[in-house]
Amino acid sequence: MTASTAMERTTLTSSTWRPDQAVVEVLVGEPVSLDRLMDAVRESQRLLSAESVGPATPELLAQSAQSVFRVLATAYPRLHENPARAYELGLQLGLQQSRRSESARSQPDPVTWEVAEQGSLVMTIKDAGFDGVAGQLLSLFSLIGEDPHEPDVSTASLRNLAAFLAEHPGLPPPSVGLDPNGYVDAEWTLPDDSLVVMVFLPDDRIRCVAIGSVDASGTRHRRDILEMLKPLPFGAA
Amino acid sequence: MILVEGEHLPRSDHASRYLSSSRLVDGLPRATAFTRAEGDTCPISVNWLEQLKEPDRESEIGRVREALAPKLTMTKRGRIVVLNVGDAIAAVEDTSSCVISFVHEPEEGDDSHAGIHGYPDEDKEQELLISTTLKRLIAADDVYLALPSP
Repeated sequence: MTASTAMERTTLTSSTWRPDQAVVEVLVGEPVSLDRLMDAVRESQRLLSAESVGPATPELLAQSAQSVFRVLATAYPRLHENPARAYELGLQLGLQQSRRSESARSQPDPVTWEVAEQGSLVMTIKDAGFDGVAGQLLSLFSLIGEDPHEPDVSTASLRNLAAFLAEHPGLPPPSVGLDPNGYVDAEWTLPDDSLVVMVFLPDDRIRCVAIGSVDASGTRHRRDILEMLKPLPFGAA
Repeated sequence: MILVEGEHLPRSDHASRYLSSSRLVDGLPRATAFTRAEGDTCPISVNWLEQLKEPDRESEIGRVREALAPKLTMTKRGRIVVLNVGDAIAAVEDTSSCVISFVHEPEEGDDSHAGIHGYPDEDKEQELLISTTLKRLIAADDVYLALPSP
């Protein structure tokens, strides 16, 4: 069965968001037991808190889709190996969401589509040659699902990171994480033990600090940030 | 020496901070581990370890876990990291234009609670610089499991 065929079989109940087992199997790339799948759904509902699971409001469906995505990414680690599958799953969640009514089809829920866009951005990062960074980001999405106090990933910040890496495919791969705002941050430890840190702001600017052989700090547009780091071997990459 | 609330921690003493998994890289703090969310002007929360009067570091960390448990959802991937107060103050003076201080601010059920003061509220670059500086002081030996192994 292809993913697109599977998507045609998507079902959506009126009271809860329920992913189709066959669809998830195709996207996860391994057999999925119904029990395990429903555990993931229940876990997502637990995250949403029991009292909020009632009538299938657009907001609830969107939240459910997002949390099921995260729980599944934790339950099925192979999703981490293949950002394309994760992206498809994100799209699938968006598709399910968009099928709940004709009006929703023309006005996709922003929260759900944000999940799909995040998957797309991870693919962009992978396509730019930063496979490890893409894997770290998917792990990060899972970690956020585990801890209700973690901030949500800022899609605009992720977009900024993806654009930066795509514009500089020769850079060494950074380690990526999240700051308390949900903005993506990236760190590079250079051969001379200098540390370069960038926080990707949601407005195409980057806040940057370098400590070590050359100290520098500043906030600049993405296209100008490497100029600031020119004295370091990093800037020449 | 007995300190009262609001007094500065001695430079020879140590402070710990809980970090969730997204603020760690390879088990060590990320550079943004000691930054605050936009609009947050509160001091960075830490615990003053010597105030706990325990015989060793493991016991101190155990007490910190107990104090934090009602306030935070600590996860098995989270870590508690330890800083020397004097080293932190000196390093930040060295790399930034700021002067930080560690101030005892006990809370209900958390007597050893303290805050790192001196962060500039309007200068996020300096805040990132401070945080990056503090991160570089913490080695693997200064990192403890947030939830002890069973």
